[in-house]
Amino acid sequence: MKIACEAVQVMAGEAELIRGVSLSCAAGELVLLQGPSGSGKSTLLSVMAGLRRPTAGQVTVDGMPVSRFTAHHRDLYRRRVGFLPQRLHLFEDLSALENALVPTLPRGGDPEVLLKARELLVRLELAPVGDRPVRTLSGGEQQRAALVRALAGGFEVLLLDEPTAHQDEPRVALIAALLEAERARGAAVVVAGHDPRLATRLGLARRYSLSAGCISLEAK
Amino acid sequence: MAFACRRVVLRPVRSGLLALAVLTVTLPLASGLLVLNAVEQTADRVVAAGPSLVVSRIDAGGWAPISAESAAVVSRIPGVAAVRARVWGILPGHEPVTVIGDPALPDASRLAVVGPGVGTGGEGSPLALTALDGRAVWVEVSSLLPSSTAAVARDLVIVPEGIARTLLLLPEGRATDLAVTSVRSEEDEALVTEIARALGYPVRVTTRAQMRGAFRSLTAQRGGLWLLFALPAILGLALVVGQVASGGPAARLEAGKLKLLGWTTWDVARLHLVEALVPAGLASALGLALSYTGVFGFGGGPAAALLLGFERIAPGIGLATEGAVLALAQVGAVVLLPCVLAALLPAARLAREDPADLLEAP
Amino acid sequence: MTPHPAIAAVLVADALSAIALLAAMGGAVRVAAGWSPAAPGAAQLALERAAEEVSLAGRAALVLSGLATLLLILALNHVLPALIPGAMCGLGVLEAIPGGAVLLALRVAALAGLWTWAVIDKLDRANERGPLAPWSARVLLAAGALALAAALRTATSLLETDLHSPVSCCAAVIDLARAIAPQTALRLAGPWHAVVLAASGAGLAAWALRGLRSRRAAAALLGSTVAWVLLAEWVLLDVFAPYHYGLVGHRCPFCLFLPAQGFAGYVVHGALLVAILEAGALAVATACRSQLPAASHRRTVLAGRILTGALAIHFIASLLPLVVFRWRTGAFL
Repeated sequence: MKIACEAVQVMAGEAELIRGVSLSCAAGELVLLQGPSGSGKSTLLSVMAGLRRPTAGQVTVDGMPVSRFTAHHRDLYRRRVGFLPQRLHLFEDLSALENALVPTLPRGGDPEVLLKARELLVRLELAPVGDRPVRTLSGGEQQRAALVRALAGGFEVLLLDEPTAHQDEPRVALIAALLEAERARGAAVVVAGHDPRLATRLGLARRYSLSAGCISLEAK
Repeated sequence: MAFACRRVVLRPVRSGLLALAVLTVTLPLASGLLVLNAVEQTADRVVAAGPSLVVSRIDAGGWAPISAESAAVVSRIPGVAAVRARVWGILPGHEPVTVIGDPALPDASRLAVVGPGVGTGGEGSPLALTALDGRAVWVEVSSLLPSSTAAVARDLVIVPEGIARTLLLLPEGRATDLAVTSVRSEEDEALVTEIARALGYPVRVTTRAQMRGAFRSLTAQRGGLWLLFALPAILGLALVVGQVASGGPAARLEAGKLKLLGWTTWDVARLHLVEALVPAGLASALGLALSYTGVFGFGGGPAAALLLGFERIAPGIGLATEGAVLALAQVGAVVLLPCVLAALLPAARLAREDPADLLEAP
Repeated sequence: MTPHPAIAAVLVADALSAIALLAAMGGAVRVAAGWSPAAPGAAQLALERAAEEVSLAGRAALVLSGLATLLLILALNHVLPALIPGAMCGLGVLEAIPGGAVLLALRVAALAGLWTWAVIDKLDRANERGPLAPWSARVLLAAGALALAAALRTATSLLETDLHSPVSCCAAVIDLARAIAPQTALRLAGPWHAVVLAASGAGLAAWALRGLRSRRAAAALLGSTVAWVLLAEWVLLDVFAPYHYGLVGHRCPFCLFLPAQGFAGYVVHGALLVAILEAGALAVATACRSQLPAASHRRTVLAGRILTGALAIHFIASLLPLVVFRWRTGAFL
């Protein structure tokens, strides 16, 4: 699966949040989107996830213009996307494991997702707290719980906003290894963030830089 | 379903209040309608066991005794299978009783069979009955009808025919009315005019269908009134369910989170629907079960007293259970359907919000 | 008239259906007026979400309206006859209800309208761009108006039912049939009509299963199905009904709903209703073929199969008592 942005523009009233952004990420590629706070990384990821519709341009997945889909079909498209937003949006009454299973519930659940979620909890050192409500977890643990939710479903596209926020060095290495594993599985992985520790650990296909809504492709 | 049940468990107060509201509406509504349905079915059985037509003589003053020879006249009408002159009547007083004269009981025996509501000292005890002219007539209670017959035989006293005539001041050769059995029930309506013509004096002829229809009109009217009175409660319940299903301010954020994860509008609406219906359905089922037990296990209960005009709760009226399932289904529908819609509409309204707006809401 | 609980259940279901319909129609007005596919503005995004609510509420209204109609038929056949002097079946009750026959026809038309909308809505939702959304909204507005009128008519008619005047019930239909039969070719109704019915039904089914290419063909199929339903109803009452009732000349369609006839009316008449609805669905799906080829094709295939099944079920359920009678007695009535 290949996800691509073609001259995407996003306006918020008179303000131009994103201007003429084009990027792509094919299956088995890992792409990094860097930029300072307020540059529009989160906005771009939300457009790619079908949460917002661009004012101009389009987002395509395998040539299908998902940004032009009706609301119902954009909801269905998100079933194929593992999304880690900047604000984690976890269900605080549920445990980390339960949060990981929520995306699959409308289709009756998936035992493979349950197995993978348990493995991820172990690898990300959340197993001891995996059954506690997430509101009792620390900020770093909640970040990792949200990451488990994004990765457990075996999604074709991964859109991850600041996946290493609040994480120490060893855990950044863990997360980088997991992302590499997803890339090797054949997912198209787009990571947005300004953590330099992550950039050095990932086998990137491309590195983009976003500044004031404009994108540029950096040399590898 | 499991997720919805988990959320129900995580919000015990909200779910409990919703269940209590549903139970409070279901129990009295179901009890009332069940009683009326059971009375209707019981009446059907009793009417079906009775005569096809009842002929009573009427004059300017109302009811008048009918001559026993009229039975012979009526029996000669084609389509009439049998005619019996009946001696029965009501003895007024502090505790009115209905006296039936049974020709099978020997007059000299002075034995009586009494219903469960007649005050006696039990089998073998004497019973004093006050005739219409004020005289006291003593009989001996030979047996008591079981309490389950209270619906139709509560105040019955079955005595020899001679004693019944003494009590009711009916001379020999006269009867209260004629019980007619027809050859084919389809011809009952046609027999009405034939009988009136044959007797030659004013009579009132009541068919089985009319008797049945009278009971049904009564129960239908009371059932309709019961539902009308329950309507405000049902509307209030719908408001409660709607409020619960809309979930408050946190519900918008939750719906946004679910849509973020690929849930569609219908998935989110279905979750809210199930979440409201699980406690409502359980409470409704409990209410229906309790009402069934109250009506058929404890003789009608308060609903029977209210609807049937008893001054006190009748002890253990045995009622027919046919049609109870349909009546319960009606109540379930009347209670649960508004709950379904009250849960669905706000859930749909919430679910159709755009997740980007929901997630960015304060 | 204080409503009987069975009547109250119908009125409650109708009221709930009306609430859901009004919620749906409110959104449908906005969708019909302002739909602009793939437009990036907040207005179009809001309309897309409104369209989802319209779909949900509309489907709820369809279910509730169908439930109300079923409750009405149950009340007409099994509850109300005991209250109306002379009524033996639903026909007698309809005589006591002001405009009873019109009421029933209106309800069936409303159901057909809502079903047509549901077919268009489902086809539209199968496509990512929602090309039929404005048309779906307009059809819902029309069907919804019809359904609201039917609900209102039901409420006023039921509450004005005359419970005291006796009715002639089936006698009215029997007399009418006797009066009509000599003037038409169907006066010779007999086994040959059943053969014609079977042959024409098989032809209709084959036509539906083969698949239609044009809107004209689809409209012709719909018209043919309606004609076949009318023929089937006549043959049922004239040829097969005697074997259901064990009585020649009792041409009452409603007595078939009674327990004495094994509730056969629900099967034979229900199958005819399904046949008309699916013929309509087939016509609609064919008309949408150019915009939604894959989804339309799937729906036309499904409609063809359901239509065939409905025709077969009606014929078999109608014919069965005749076969049993012949097998038991060796003769025909």
